[in-house]
Order: sequence, then structure tokens, then C-alpha cells
Amino acid sequence: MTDILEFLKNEGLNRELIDGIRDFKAKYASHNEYNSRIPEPEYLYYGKDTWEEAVAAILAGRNILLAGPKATGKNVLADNLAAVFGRPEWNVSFHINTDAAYLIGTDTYDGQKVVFRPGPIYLTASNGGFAVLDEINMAKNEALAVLHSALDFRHIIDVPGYDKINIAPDCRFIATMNYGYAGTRDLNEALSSRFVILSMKPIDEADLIRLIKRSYPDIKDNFAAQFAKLFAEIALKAENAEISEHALDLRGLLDALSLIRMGLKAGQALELCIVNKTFDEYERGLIKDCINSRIPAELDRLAVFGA
Amino acid sequence: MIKKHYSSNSRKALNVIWNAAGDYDFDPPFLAFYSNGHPDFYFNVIIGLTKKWLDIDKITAFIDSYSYASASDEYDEYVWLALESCLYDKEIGSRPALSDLRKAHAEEFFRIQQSLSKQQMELMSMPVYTQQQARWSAVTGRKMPLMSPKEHKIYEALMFPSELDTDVLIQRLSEFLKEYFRFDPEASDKEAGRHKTGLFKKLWGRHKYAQIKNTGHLIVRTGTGDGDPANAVLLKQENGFNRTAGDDAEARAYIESCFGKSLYPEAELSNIESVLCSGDDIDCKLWFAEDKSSHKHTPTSPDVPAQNENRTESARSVENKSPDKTDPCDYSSLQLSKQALREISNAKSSVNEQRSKNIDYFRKHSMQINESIRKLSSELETVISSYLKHLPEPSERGILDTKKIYRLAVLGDQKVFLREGDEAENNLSLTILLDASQSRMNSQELIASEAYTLSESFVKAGISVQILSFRSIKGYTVLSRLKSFEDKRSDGVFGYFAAGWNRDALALKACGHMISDIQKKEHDRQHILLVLTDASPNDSVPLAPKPGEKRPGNYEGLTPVENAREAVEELRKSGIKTAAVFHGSTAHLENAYRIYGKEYIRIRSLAQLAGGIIDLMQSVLRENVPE
Repeated sequence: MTDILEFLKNEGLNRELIDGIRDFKAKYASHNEYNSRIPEPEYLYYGKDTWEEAVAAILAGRNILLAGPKATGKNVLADNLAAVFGRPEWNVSFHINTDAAYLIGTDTYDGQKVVFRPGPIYLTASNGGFAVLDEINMAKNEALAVLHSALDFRHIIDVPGYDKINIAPDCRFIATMNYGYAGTRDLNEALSSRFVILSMKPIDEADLIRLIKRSYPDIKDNFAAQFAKLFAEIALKAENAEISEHALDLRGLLDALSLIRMGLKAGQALELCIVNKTFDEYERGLIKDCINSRIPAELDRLAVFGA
Repeated sequence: MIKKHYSSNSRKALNVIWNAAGDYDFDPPFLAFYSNGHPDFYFNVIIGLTKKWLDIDKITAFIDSYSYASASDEYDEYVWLALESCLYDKEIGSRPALSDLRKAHAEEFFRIQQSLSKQQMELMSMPVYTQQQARWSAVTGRKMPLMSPKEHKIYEALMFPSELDTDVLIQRLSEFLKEYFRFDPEASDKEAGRHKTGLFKKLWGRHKYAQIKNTGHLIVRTGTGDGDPANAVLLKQENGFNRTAGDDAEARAYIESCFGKSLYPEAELSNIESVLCSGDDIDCKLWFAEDKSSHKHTPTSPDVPAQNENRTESARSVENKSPDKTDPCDYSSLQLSKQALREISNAKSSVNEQRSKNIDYFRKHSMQINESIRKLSSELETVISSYLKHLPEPSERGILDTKKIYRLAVLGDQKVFLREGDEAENNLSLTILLDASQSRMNSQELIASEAYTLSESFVKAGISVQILSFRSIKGYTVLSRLKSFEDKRSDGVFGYFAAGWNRDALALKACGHMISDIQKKEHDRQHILLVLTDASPNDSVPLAPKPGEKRPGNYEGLTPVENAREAVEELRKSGIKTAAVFHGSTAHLENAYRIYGKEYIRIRSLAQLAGGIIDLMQSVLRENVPE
């Protein structure tokens, strides 16, 4: 397992924040029952400034909202934060049908009596976990209103018909939000004021090269740079609305490298993992042109990764 | 950046250029195509690299400077070979793939040459061909062509190195032309007395370069790209407006023969007029009709069947409350002069012709339109469902339904809880109202396709749609129904044509009346009205004279805009969510804002429709969240 603290030290994170993380972990031991929920991230988030902002907010007892376009690493950072703080993680994917019952919990019948079945927010709050509230702005306001008392100074959840629970002091809510997708809405002010909002920037070329090289240590330097530049070019094309954001998929890029390493030619791998992310034929043409201007289709494993 | 309306090949070429330049905020002055119309990938990269590494404006100015020469086409080829050499060397370090692209381009050159006929070879400039052959032979490792000493010197001279900056590069190009072709761009320009400056020179350049050059390898200057959709046709006001009883009868007969019988019986129509034709519209009349212009047409495309095929029985029967259901095109019973009959006949021919043009336009853009429909309908489903009330359904978990708890004990039925189900109460309807006045005559095909795209998208998203058009003629504001709610398909909209004036306020009120008929029958139904407009009300029937004024004012300017704003306000108060898609002159943008407030979007092309509509719908629906 990657030692994230070591990684953060190497990234040059503020010494006091690193000490703060250590103290937090020492103070709040996680329950054995939920240890399996402590994530072991596959990817690390690169971005020293964002790390410092997020860690500082969490140490200050605040909940954070990671807002930004696609492929900015919101979920990677959320995962990394739960891992570095050693907290069990509950993932809640918000959608238009998300309701309060799904979040807090519902009544059900256990064979003998009606009982309350706790939802992910309840479990996070009572067990000092980190809840990742993914795409929080997809849900309706009435569903989100149940979070207000959990997120503000009250730190409680009042379950109708049951008891009120106090939010554990080591519990944090990390929301992610993408704006501009169909079906998304602006987050209402009542909710957004309860978060420290981090504006997530697209990963820059240098960090992307480091991410690629960390994931594939055997990749040749010049090709790590070319793939990073390719991603930047696709991002710029999407930013200028010549294509949608479907093909702007960082995981797709890394998956393509996996396939090249397994023996597929670069053109094929990129088609499977990037081009085919969009179903629009015209867009596919533009993305293929982008790829062809940067990565030769016949590039193979030997060329990219060496012997 | 405002997107001009380019063909898909041009847009592909532009994307390659912008990608290579790393900049999407400029209009490339050149695009590269092969003679078959396909973009030349490698040379479009080179054009992009011109922007990245050099000052493309200076390069363009240099190319313009010799554009009047008889051999300018040949000079272009030499210049681009020189630029290619320099830019390739500048970029290859950071873009290794460029080597493969260059080779592929070189191979394509030889493949094309092999396919040329003897006549085509004779039409080519052999000195240019020799240099191209030499360049691409070196790239592919082929044997170099035989060259004279001078040709060899030209070949070497065109191998511009990477370290040149723009000014030095232009200097060398100038010297090249002087040395090998005894051509001095600046001198010959002035001597010919054609040293044009400023706007005239730009226009001259555009005129000259808006042609495709017939060589194996094309560098084409882009044209002016007049993307301004305004092309507003200014409607000339008649001088004065006096109507007699005789005029009334003839006008009525004229309207009925043009648009078909009224959907409302005489008495009801009179009542409607007495309510709606008030204030500044007091001298006006109304007409509501079903557009039947497509009924007699055979399908021109499998994608666009005749309207009859897609109508349900109820649609065919038409909500025509008139008792007389004779052939709507038989106007012999109406008392019209010969001239009027001739006019009507000519007009109908024009309408048929316009329908064909609308369909042709649709076919030409069908890929883009179908893709827009697919994308828009999917996004609409998501947006709309987030505003709909989901019906509760029984479940094994959720909120305890105390009325059913007995079933748990008695029947062992555990579904005594309620949770939000998947089924949503879809009670939304949409009316698309098209401004069909003559000011829209340059956009008829586009408007028809826009309306088709919108209608099909909403229908696919589960919203029922009707399409109406409005125009004012001979004092009548006519609402024609191109598609009813019952029609399964939207191709009736291809019967759209532009003619007459537009009295927006009265049209909006009349449309509101048609919608209120539905609201009376279906109380829970929520209605959205989407107006496609250029926000420029204009009519031959003047405004009612103000107190103290003897002469009525022309129906133009601020008062009609204000009237339209009031009409929209009334519609919104009655529960009809009203918004607009503005497609017109910037001069009238302020009108759109006055009339519709924030609930409008501006688009300049079909490509912008889908994205704009989603934003608009979110805004419109959010304003009136269902309780």
C-alpha cells in the first residue's frame, strides 16, 4: 500500500499539515468493524496546493465541496483524503431520484417488527467516517435539506420517529460537484454555505506526466510527455466546445496505456479507451485526428515501454 | 468565439489547425484540401503550426502582397514548401508523430500523381511539380527526380531551417521570389497601381481567394463566411390603412383561401376577436387554421413521409369546428377577384417550392439534426424528470403507510412502506410558435429544421408538442397549426414558409387562447410556450391613435415591443411558461430581452440549438417548480 503521508512529504506539503494528519489519526482510531472501508487508493492525487487546502479544511473541522469539470481528480482526492486520515469511507452517488430516506435511512420489517435501517449518512455520522457525496448537485433540494443540520454548527441528524444522533467529531462530508452536465443544477445557497469549496483545476501537464510515470514506471519519458500532451489537447478541444467531455477521460488514457503494455497497438488502445467514449461519429473523427497528430497508430509496446 | 456555419469537412480541417496551433480563438486564413474535397491533414497541421511558431498575420499579408501576380498560384506552392520545411523542424522535437504524418502526406502525393490523367498532368505547373516531387521523394527515401542546376538551387533554397523567425523568414521568401522568378512583391504591387490599402484590399483578397484552386494540393483561402443570420428584410410600411366593409369581405375570403377554413365557428371566432383584439389591436382580425399544405404532397424522402401517413384519426379529423368540411382547397365558392385567385395560385406554388427547399435543407443536415435530436432528447429527459413529481409506490422499505400496516400482520405482506417510484407524473406540454413573417425569409429552411429538431427532441423525451406559425396579412393575424399534439411526427413543420407581417403581441394572445382551450380540459397539465423569433414586431395595421392624436402610429418601434412584453406577462400569469429562441439581428437583441426577460437564448446556427435549449429549459422549469 502506498504510504500517502510519505508521498505528501515528497510533494512538499506544509509540515504542520502533515503533523496535523498524524495527530488526527492517533486521536481517532477507526472501528475494527469498518476497517475494510478504509480505502487503498490505486491513484494518487497530484496537486500540492489543493492538498493543502483540503487537509487544512478537514483539520479545521470543516466539510469540503470539490467543484470542477470532468477529469480534475475530484473522486481521486476524496478517496486519498479518506485514506490518509485513516477513515472508513461511505460513497453516496447522488442522482435525481435520491431522497432523504436513501441518505438517512428507512423503515423496514425484520421479520418480527418494523425497524430502522440506517443509510450511508447515518452510518458515516455515527462511525466517524468520511462520506463522499458524489455529484451532490444532481439531487433535488428537498433531498439535500436533511443534510443541513449535519453540515452546520448543530452537527446532528434528527431521524423522524427515532432519536437524534450527534455527528462524530472525526466525521467529515466530502462532496463533489460537476457543473454544466445535463440534469445538474446550481447547489442552493443554504447547502453551499455549509461547505468549504475547493475549485478543482484540470491536472497540469507536469503533474499528469508524473501520474503516468507513477502508474507505469517503465514508460519512456518522451512518450509519457506525448500522452500527457494528447490529454491536454483533447481537454482544450472540449473546453472550446468542439467536442463534448465524454472523451476527456483520464482513466481512459491510463487504461489505454495498460492495453498498449499488454500488446495492443497505440491506435487500437486509444480507440477503445478514448475515442469510443463518445458515440457521436463526427466527434470521434475529431478526436481521432487529435490522436493521430500526436501518437502514431502503429506505436507498440516496445516503443512505448522498452524491452 | 462565435461559430460560423461550416461544412463538416471545413470544420474537420479547422479542428486540426486549432489543435496544432493550441489556440481556438482565431480564424485561420487558410484551409488545406485535396481536390476531392477531403481535408489535407498534414498541411492543416502545418497551417496550425504557422500560428504556433510564427506571426500568421504577417505571413498572410506577405501572401496577399503577391496575390495579383499572374503566377501567384505557383508562388503559393513554393511559399508553403518553404514554410513546411521550417515549421517541421521547429515542431518535430515536441511532436515526434509529425514524422509519420509527413511521410503519410508524401505517400499520398505519389498516390495522387499516379491517378492523374495525362490532361491533368499537362494542366499542372511542371516547375512546381518538380519541387514537390523532390521534397516528398527525400521524405519517403525515393530516388530524387532529375533536376536542372537551377531547379536544384530552388530545391535547396526552399529548405528553410527551423531557427528563422517571422521577419527573417518573410525576408528570405521575398529574396527567393526576386532571385528565381524576378518578382518583387512590393514593387509590382505599386507599379500596377493596385497598392490597395485597408478594407478594400481585404475585400479584394477575399474575393480573389474565395475560389478553389485546381491543383493536386489545395491551399484555399477561407471566404468572408457571412454567418450573420440577421439578413433582416425590412418590411415597408404602407402609407395609411383604411378598410371598408368590402375590403373586409375580400380580405376574409383571401385569408380563408390561403390558409384554409377557420378552426373555430364564426360566432366563436367573433367572441375571441372581441376579447383579444383590443387596445392597439382593435382594428385587427384573427384567423386560426390547420396547415394542410403538406397533405397533397408525395413523400420526397423516406425520412420525411407525407403528413397524412402519420396522423392519428383524431388528428386527421382536425379540431375543425366548422360544419363545412368540403375540400379545403376548393375556393370557387368564395368571391375573389381573378387577380386575387391568380395571386393565391402563385403563392401556393411558392409555398410548395419552399417546402421542397425545407426538406432539402433537412436532408443535407440530417446527420447533424438527428444527432442533435438524440443528444437533446436524452438531456431533456434528465432535466425534465428532475422537475416532475414521482409517484409513490409500495415497497419493503421507506415511509410506513399506516393505512396498510394491517397487511403485515394479517397477510404477511411486507410492502407496507411507500417510497418514490420510478414513474413520474408527466404533465408537460410544449407549443412551439414560429414567427412566419417575411423578415424570416432568408432563414426559412433553418427555422423549419430548428423547429423539427426541437419538436422531435421533446416528443422523444415524452413531452407532447404542437407547432404553430403566425403572420399578419391584410389585417388578419393568422395562426396556422403545422403539427398538432396528436401527430406522431413533426414533418408538418416543413410546410413552414415566411410571408406577411408579424404582430407579435396579438399572436401571443391568440396562441394563449389556443393553449387555454387545452388547459380547460386538462387542469393539471403544465404548458411551455417556446417562441422562435427575431423579436422585431412589424405590421401594416397601425397602432390605435393615442388620445389627442389624429393619425394612428405605425406598428413598429417600442410600442409593439412593449405590447408583446405585456402579452408574455399575461401568459406567464395564466401559468404558461413562456420563453424564446432568438435568431435575428443584434439590433433587436434588446427587444428580445424586453419581451422575454431572461427566458430566452440567442442562437446563430443549428449547432447551438441543443445546448441553448437545455439551459433555457432548466431556467424555465426552475422558475415554476411543481408543488
